[in-house]
Formats: sequence, C-alpha cells, structure tokens
Amino acid sequence: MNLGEYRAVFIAGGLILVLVASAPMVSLFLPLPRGGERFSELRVLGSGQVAEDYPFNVRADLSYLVYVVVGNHMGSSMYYNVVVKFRNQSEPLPNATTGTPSLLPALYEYRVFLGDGESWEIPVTFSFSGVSFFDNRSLVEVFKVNELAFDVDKVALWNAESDGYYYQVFIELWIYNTESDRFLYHNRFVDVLLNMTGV
Amino acid sequence: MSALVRGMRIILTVLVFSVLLTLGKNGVSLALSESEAALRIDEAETAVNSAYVKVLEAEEKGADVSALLVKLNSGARNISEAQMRFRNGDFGGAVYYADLSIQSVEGLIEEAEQLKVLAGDQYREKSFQTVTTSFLAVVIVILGDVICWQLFKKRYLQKLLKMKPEEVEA
Repeated sequence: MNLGEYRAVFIAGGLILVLVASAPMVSLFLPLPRGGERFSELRVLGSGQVAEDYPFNVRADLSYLVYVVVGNHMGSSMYYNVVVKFRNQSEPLPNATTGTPSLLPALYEYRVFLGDGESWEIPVTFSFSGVSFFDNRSLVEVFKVNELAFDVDKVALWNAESDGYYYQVFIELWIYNTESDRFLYHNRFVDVLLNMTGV
Repeated sequence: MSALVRGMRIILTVLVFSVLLTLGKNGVSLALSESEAALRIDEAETAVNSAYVKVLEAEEKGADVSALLVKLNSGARNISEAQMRFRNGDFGGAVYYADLSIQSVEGLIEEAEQLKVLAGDQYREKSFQTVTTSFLAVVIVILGDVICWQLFKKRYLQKLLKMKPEEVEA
C-alpha cells in the first residue's frame, strides 16, 4: 500500500469513529422508531384463572365466575372501558370486519387506566333470575353482574341442532380517544356461550 | 246528613289533592335528579379525561406517571359506578359516585403539570450532557485520528528514506 491508500484508510476509520461517537447526539434529534407491534389484549378466563372451566350449562339464581384480562401494549398509558353485554342467539354481536360494536346496550362496565406493558385482571360474577320456559322458549328477565341487577327480558328459542336455549355474555373493549374526547370501540371482544338449563 | 256528605266530600277532595300534589312533586324531583345526575356525570367525565390528557403529556416528556395512574383509576372506577347506577335509574347513587370521581382526580392536573416540567428539565439536562459528551468524543476522535496519521506518516517516510536503492543490472 502506498501513502495515499494509508491515508484513505485513516480517513475511513476516523469517519466510522466519528459516527459512533456522535450517535447519542444524533439520536436526540432523530428518535429511532419503536420496535414491535402496538396492540391491546383482551382475554376471558374460566373460574380457575386459566383458559378452561368456562360456565356453560347455567341455571337461575346460581352465580358463575369468569375473569377478564386486559393488556396494554400500545406504547403509552391507555384508558380502557370494558363493557359487559348480554344477548340471545338472534341479537347482533360486534362486527370484526367493519370494526363496529354490538348495538345492544352496555350493562356493566369497568373503566381502567393501564400503563404501557401493564395488564389487569378482574373477576366478573354473573347470575340470572326470573327465568321461565314456555312453548320452546326460555325467558331471562334479570341478568345480574357483580350483584348489580339489569332488567333484560331476553327470550331464546329452543336450538334443536345444539339442544339448548343459548345466550351469550360478551365483553367489548373500548379505548378512549383524546382527539375525539370519547371512547371508541377497539374492535376486540370475547364471549362466553351459555345454555340455560333450568329455573 | 247532607252536611256530613258535604264534609266527607271536602275531606276526600283535600286528600286527592294532597296525593296529586305529592306525586307531582316527586315527579319533578325525579326529573331534576336525573338531569342533575347526567350533568354531574358529564362533569366527572370531563375532570377525568382532562387529567388523563395532562398525564399523557407528562408521560410523553418522560415522567414516571404510575402514581398518577393510581389516582386516575380511582376516578375511572367511580365513573363506571356512576354510569351503571344512572342506567339503572339510581340517580342519587350516580351523583354520589360522580362526585367521588371528581374528588379522586382533584389536583391531578397540577401534579401532572409539575411532573411534566420536572421531566422537561431532566430531559434538557440529560440532552445537554449527551450533546457535550458526544461533541467532546467527536473532537477527540478527529484529533486522535490526525495525530495518529501524522505519526504514521512520519514513521512511514522515515522508513522509506532508510531504504537502500537496489542496483538493477542494465
């Protein structure tokens, strides 16, 4: 190598070291994008706080327990609204394709602020009263969540294929939007299918 | 006899009138408490939402907002209760929980603002240190590179001068 080539090597080495030394300063002005996908998680667990032992065959005046888990991986603190709804088989569920919530009214709700990376688990106890059966139909008059009673008057028809009167408790996740200053449906829901078996 | 009937009629009229008056009063107070509850819930929502926006701003500046989130959660829990009681027609309960919610987040905006200022100061101090250290490192690297190059060039040329020319046969 001649002197000119050695000089080029010194210049290149020097430039690399300058880049390394100036990286912390540059990162102040050009913040690097955060890696990883941003999302919220919503899960429902059975009474043993695992994904099994969900209530299915239910009766009037007995309490059933599930756990709802919400996780924040959105990159900053979030304000969530966990909304509990109750439907029979003919009423609408949320639409995952259009991202719209169910039109059914919210019954119980939990609002929670979660920091980034935090998750939150809450027990949900529910029961039914005013249950009756007539002409291949079942009627649930009152749906109770955590001892708060809601008049629902839901009628379910006998499902001959699956042998039962089916209802669903479902939980929607809403998230507070600071720009519109209101909760927006976060396109996530979980449900527990129930077969009303007796009074 | 007719005086007795007239007397009874008067008593009955007074009774009916009293009952109607009581019902009317209750109806008015029910309507008032419903609108009052809705208003109070709105106030609570605004208080919690405004506090959250301030907490978010502080968090963006790098502040540790975990203590503020605990207070916000207390406000959020009470708003949920207020909303559910309102939907169930328990307007008194709704007002009670809406007021609790407002109390839970009282002073939170100021706390968030203080944390935001503190985090801003810390960020500026840290940035100054980073820029200074980085700048010094760049200067040292450039000076070191130039000095090394000069030394290398000197030794290289000395080595070149010490070389004996080779005799090449013609």
